[in-house]
Amino acid sequence: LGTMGNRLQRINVENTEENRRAFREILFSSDASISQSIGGVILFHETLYQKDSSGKPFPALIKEKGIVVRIKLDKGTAPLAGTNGETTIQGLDGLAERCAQYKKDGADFGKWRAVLKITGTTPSQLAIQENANTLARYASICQQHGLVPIVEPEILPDGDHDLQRCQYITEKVLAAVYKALNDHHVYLEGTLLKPNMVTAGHSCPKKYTPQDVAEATVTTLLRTVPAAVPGICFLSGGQSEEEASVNLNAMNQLPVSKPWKLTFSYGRALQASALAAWVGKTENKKAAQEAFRKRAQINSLACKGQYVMSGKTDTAATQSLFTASYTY
Amino acid sequence: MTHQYPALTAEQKKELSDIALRIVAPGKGILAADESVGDMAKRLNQIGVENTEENRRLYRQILFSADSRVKKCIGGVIFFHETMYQKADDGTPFVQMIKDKGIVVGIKVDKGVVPLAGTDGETTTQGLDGLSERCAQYKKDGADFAKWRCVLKISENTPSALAIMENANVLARYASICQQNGIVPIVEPEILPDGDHDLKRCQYVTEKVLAAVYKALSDHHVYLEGTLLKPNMVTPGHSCPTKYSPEEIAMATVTALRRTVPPAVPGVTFLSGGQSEEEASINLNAINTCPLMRPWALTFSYGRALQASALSAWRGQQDNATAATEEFVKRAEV
Repeated sequence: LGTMGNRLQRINVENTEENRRAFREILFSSDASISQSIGGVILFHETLYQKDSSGKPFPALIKEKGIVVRIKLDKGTAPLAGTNGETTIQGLDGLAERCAQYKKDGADFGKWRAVLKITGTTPSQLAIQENANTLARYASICQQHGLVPIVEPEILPDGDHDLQRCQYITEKVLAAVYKALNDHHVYLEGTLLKPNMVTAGHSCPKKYTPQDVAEATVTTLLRTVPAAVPGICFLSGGQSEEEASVNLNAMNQLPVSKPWKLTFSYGRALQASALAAWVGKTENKKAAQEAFRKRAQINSLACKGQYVMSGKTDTAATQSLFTASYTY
Repeated sequence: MTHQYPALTAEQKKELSDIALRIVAPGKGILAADESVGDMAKRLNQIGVENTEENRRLYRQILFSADSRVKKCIGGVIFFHETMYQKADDGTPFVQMIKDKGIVVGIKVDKGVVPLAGTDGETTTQGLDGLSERCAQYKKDGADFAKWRCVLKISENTPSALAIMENANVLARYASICQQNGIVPIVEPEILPDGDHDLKRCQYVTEKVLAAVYKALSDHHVYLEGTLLKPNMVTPGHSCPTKYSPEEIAMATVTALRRTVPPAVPGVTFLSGGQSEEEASINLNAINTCPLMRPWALTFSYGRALQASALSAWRGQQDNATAATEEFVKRAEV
């Protein structure tokens, strides 16, 4: 809810349930060709139970386009005492029952976001191990109820660390995550990974090319993610829409063999242009859908390494979507 | 967690990665000729030959004087310490003979298994003391890769968590030290085929063991692109009443590896673990034709399975030497 608030605030639209519903309706009522670019949609609890103006529930609207429905399952962060501001994630209580209910109500995937940050002293051993463990517990429970768990160990881009440090940390974190998934007997072929790309911190003075980001990211994944995992959908983590697409494209163009699909799981990076086109006005619905469809298609091309930057992107696409210490 | 302290320079990494790729180049595997004196005793005994240093030298000579046809099938040969410093009849050091064929020389560096107190007959492997100095010396003397064998067994209550963790840790220490000395470590966590367990149990245990091994390698900052894995194939225990086809074995093996071995590892060289020569080759073939996607090279590191025919052909008779070498070449080409 708070997040939608941020987004709507940027376009000066009041953060009411109706406005939130209206915006999502715009996205979900895009015509069926969107299913060529979008494989799944992640919903928040409120959204799963909302309907469009004709009374059709959102999940039905989405599924008839052949897109799968995902539901966010965690209940936000909780502090880890004795650490330097580090957190774990709550949401395990009654998770089994919630999963069973969501599955009945149309969800097929679950999402759970763990958060780690890089500083001189973090992430600590405890933070890594604790977050890996809760991710594994969540994944195990999801699978028991027919939901595919999306495993998301996000390492925030906040900070001035360089690319190498991010790579080092990401490798350590992912190794811990897959050890935990193994310990908890999670069926890897029925999971997806949603990691950060390996990038320098936002306030790092050194600049890196999409090629640098692509190589660092893919190397990290080759060293830690077993081939049995069918797909990796990157989070955009505050990158602009254009940056996120270009980086994904560079990864898919790398001449190295990758056993998993590399694709996207973008929130901000897919919706910014659509939000800017909508600005809360019903008459802008078509324009917003068009912006959304274009962005989705660009990313779809990026998944195949076929995206060619046109050079004439609109302002919304290049605007940085970074919000410090992003919380859901 | 603190900052990264690079374990290897870019040049060191490149050297290790190049060596690993050469060993598992397409169509190539490893000849494990590293039987200890005790192991050789058993082998030579089977063909009625006395276990003397000279006989051991003669036997290895047969293998190493195979003609250049083996170049296409053998990427690396693993030596035992004694063999590393032996020569052929004409005075050419064995190491030289192997390198002249463009084959990479490897050396077994572990010092055998020792018991883990308080377990059900489980073991760890020793050999870490002075390993760095030994590796440096072997590298000077021509070795570019090394082998270290850990052993686990399947029974009602084994392998225990301790056995898995301890062996994974010791493998990671060995691997780290090797890489510091320009030597590619072959990581061998062998799960013995003894027992009556079925294919599924072997797969389950193999997945747990390999997950532990790769976590340990990550913890010890080992450069995966400069390592090789030498695991058991996933098979039922020797006394398991159920029979499985090569396709089932292949599926179980590849699935286990896909779930645990990061794609960055360049190659997996299977041990034959007591399978017959023919069995081992058929299973390897099935593995390579398995419909699942395999990001690493999958090849062999056979000792007994490559040498059995050669051994029987030789029987310690000098005149049988060429016939024996011929058997060896034939087996390698398969």
